Amino acid sequence: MDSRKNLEETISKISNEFIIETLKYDEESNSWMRWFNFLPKVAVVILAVGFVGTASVIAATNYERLKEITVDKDVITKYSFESYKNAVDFFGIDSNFRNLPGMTESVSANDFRKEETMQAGEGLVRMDMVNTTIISCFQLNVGSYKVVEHYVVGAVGKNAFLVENLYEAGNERTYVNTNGMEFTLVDGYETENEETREKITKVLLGSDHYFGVISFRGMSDADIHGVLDCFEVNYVAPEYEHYYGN
Amino acid sequence: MDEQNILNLFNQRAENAVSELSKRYGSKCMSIAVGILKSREDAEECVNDAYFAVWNSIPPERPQSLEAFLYGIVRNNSLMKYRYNTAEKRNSHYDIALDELEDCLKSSDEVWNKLAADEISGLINLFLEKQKKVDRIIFIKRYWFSMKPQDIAKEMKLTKNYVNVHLHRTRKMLQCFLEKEGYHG
Repeated sequence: MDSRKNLEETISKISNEFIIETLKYDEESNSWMRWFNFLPKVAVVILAVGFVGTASVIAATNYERLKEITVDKDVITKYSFESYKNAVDFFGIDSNFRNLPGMTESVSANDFRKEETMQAGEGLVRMDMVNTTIISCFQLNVGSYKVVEHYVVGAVGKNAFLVENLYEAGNERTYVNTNGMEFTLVDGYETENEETREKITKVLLGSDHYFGVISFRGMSDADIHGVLDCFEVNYVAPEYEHYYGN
Repeated sequence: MDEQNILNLFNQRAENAVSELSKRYGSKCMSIAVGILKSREDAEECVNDAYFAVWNSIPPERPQSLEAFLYGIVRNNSLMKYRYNTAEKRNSHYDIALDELEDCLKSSDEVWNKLAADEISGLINLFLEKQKKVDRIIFIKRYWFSMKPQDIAKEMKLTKNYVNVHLHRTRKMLQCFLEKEGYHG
């Protein structure tokens, strides 16, 4: 029992600084969405999302643009699923949507692993990562919406984001969902062609290692809010090296 | 009422200082005490004793963090009560948490004789300083606040598996660190 008492005494003497840090962390844990406020608010470029596709990746510090870098896709595997749940179950992701309302039109996914050193501004950035993208389309009442989510493992986090263009962006408004998270909704068009274009509403999603965007077509704000109410933060990226068991 | 205002009440010897302290931090105090004691009645006694101790200490004491100061007293009171209650018995998840650490700090009797608790605490503090913030916080929640892994996971929006894996890893690293520092020497 002496060693037990000694152990208790030792733990009791852990620095107060760490106890305070833990207490402060609890207070701050619900403020993960704050960084949205720092995103650039440019008339055309409104959304920052991920790293895949033909879009450019921007490595940034304090959200200042350093240099655009084109990402080459390394190993990409594509998948198709019957439902969103099947997709997240397949990848074993603790997804940020417990439920997505409406009738499923399609759910596809792809994932890739990348290990590369890339130039960003004057320096080099090591970009080891695994990105799993899930693209889900749903019909809801008279409208439809598409959710594109990037679940990332690796050295990316807040310092990289993808820019998506939206023409004639405007009517910016905010919505706080039932979980207390604030979103910015922006209306605009995906093309310049006035004959074929259709007005859409876009909403950015994000936390550490998670980026997403939802495009709503022909949906009322009430229906949009219903979708956003399903969002909660569940995903925590595993350590990269442990993800691969190295 | 925020912490600074509560501190002001204590410094002014205001009657409502303790009730405001209890309103703000009572539930966390109870959770720390119950985590160690498993008995609500005993926990209430320890928490009330802690309020009294704070009342007697401030002023002149000027804690950097009233919250941490209070929780430290609650924890110490609960440990004393626990030792008194259980003697040789071990039954709470507080014990389970300590067992985990004891496993990590092997050949402890020998070691404790060699190094004073102060020295080992110093080494653990040094080790914690070098850890990632999230791992440090998980460690503190588990071994200082005696929280269950599932409760840590819930509070930190992590999975239970993540918490367990990181605790395991941190303990292993602590063991290596202490060995390097001559812990088993």
